[in-house]
Amino acid sequence: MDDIYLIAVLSNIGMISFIALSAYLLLVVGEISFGQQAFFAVSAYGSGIATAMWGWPIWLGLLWGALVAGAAALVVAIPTVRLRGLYFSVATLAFAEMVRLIFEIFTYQVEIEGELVGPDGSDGFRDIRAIYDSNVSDFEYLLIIYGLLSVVLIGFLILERSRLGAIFRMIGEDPLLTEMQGLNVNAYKILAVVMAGVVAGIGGALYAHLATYVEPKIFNVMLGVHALAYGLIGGLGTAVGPLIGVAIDIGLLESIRAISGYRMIVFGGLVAVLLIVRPRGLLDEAAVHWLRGRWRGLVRAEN
Amino acid sequence: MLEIHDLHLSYGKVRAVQGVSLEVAEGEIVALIGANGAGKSSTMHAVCGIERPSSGQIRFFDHAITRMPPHRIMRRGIVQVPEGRLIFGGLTVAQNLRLGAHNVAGRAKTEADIERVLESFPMLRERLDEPGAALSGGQAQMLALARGLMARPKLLILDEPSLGLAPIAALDVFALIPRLRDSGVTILLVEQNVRQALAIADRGYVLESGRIILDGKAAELAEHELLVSAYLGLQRGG
Repeated sequence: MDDIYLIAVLSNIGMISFIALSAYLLLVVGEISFGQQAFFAVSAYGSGIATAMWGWPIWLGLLWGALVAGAAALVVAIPTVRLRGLYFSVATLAFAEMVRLIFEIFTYQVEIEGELVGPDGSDGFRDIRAIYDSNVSDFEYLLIIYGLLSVVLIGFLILERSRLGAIFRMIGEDPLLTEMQGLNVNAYKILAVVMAGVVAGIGGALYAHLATYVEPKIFNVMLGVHALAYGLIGGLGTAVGPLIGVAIDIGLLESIRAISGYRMIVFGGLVAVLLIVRPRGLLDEAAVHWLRGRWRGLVRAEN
Repeated sequence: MLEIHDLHLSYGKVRAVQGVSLEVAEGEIVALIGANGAGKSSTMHAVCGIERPSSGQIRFFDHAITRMPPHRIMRRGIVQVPEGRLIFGGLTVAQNLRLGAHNVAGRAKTEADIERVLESFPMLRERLDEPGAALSGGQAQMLALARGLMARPKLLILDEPSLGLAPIAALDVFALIPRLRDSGVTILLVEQNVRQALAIADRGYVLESGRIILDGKAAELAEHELLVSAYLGLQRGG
C-alpha cells in the first residue's frame, strides 16, 4: 500500500516537474506565463487521441503530444512575442483559458470494439489505456517518467552552460541591451516559448497516460500558477531550482498529513515569504555561483 | 561613414528630435553634447534602431539603415555602449565579453579578441570569473566598453560613458577613448560633460531642444561664447 502511494507521489512529482521547468524557462527569459497548462493540456489530449483512438504505440504518442504542444506554443509565440511584462502574462492566461474552454466543447469520438472512445467535451476523455494494454507497471512507468525527466534536465543544464543559455539569461536581464549586442531578441523569445511548450507537453502526455482520464478542468489556471511558483520557490539560478520547488510542494507539503487541507495556505504563505526574502528563489544566481566556487575549490583540494 | 539627414523623432506629442543632421567621418572622435532632454539619446537610439524616427534618413557607408532592426544595424558595425544600463550582472565578466563577440565567427578568434581587448583593460583580467554584479561603477563601465570592442565595431557610440562615475573613474574613461580611436575605431561620443568631451573630440555638435544649434571643431566650440556661458559657466559655478 505504502509502495503504491510512494510511486504515485513520485510519479506526480516527476510529471509536474516538466511544467515547472517549462514555466522556469520563460522566467529565465524574463517573461511570466500564466498559461503553460495549455501546452500540458494540448499534449495530454493530443497524445491520448494518438494512442487510444489511432492506435499509435505509446512512445510515438508521447512524441506526438510534445510536438503538438510545441506547435501550439509557436502559434502563441508569434503574436505575443512583442508583448512585454504584464501584457505577455495576460495574453498567455487568455490563451490557456481559451484552450480549456475549447476542450469543454471539443467532442471527437470513434467506436472501438463497440465502445465510444475519445474526448467528450466537459465529460472528459476516458480510457487512455495504452500503458495498461501494453502491461507497463506503475513502477516501470515511474522509471520512464524519470528517464525522460533526466534527459530534459541534462538538456537544461547543458543549455545553461551554452551560448544560447547565456543569451536567454541576457534577455531576461535586459532585452534592450541584448538587442544592442546585435541579437534578434524576438526570434530567441519565440524559440524559448516553443521549447517551453515542448517541455510542458512531455509532462502532459505522461500525465494523460498514467491517469488514463483527462478533463478540461484539470488544466485550469491553478496548474499554471503552481508551475510558476515552483521556479520562484526553488530558484531561478539553475534548472534544479524548479524541481526543488516541486519536491517541496508535492513531496513535503502534500505528504505531511498534519497540514493536509491547509496545503494551499502553507504553500501560498511560503511563496509570499520567499518572494520577499529571496525574490529569485532558494537557488538564485548568487547561490549557484557560490556553490560552483565551492565545488571548484573541493575539486582542486582533491587533486 | 555615418550621415544623419533631417532626422525627426517624437514620443507621442513630445518632439524629441527636430531636424538633426550630422556626419561622422572614419577615424574621427565626434562629440554630441547638450543638456538633459536635448535629444542626444533619442538621436542615438534612432541610429541604433531602438527608436523609429518619424522622418529623416540615416546612412552608414552609403547604405540606408533608417528603421532597420537593432540587431541588423549592429551587424553592419555600429555598436552602442548604452547609457546607464551597462552589463549583465548575472553573467561573469568573461561571459559578458564573449557575448559582445557573438557576431565574430569562431571560438579561437573570440579568445584572441579577448586577449587583445584585455590589453587595454588590465583590471578586468583578474576578475574574469566574477559575476558582473560584483564590479564597481567604473569597472562596469570599462567592461561595457570592452564588450563593445569585442564586436569589432567600425563605429562605437558611447552614450554618457562618464555618467554616475567617480571623477577619477571618469578620467580613466576619457583617457581611454583616444587610444581606442588610435586602434582604428571611429567614435561618436554623447556627453553632458562638455569640457572633457571637447578636450578629446575632433569635432562637436551641440544639441538644444532637439535641434543642432552649433557645430564645428572641438577646440573652437570649447571657446564659443554661447557654450561657455550656457554650459561651461554653469559647470564652473556648480
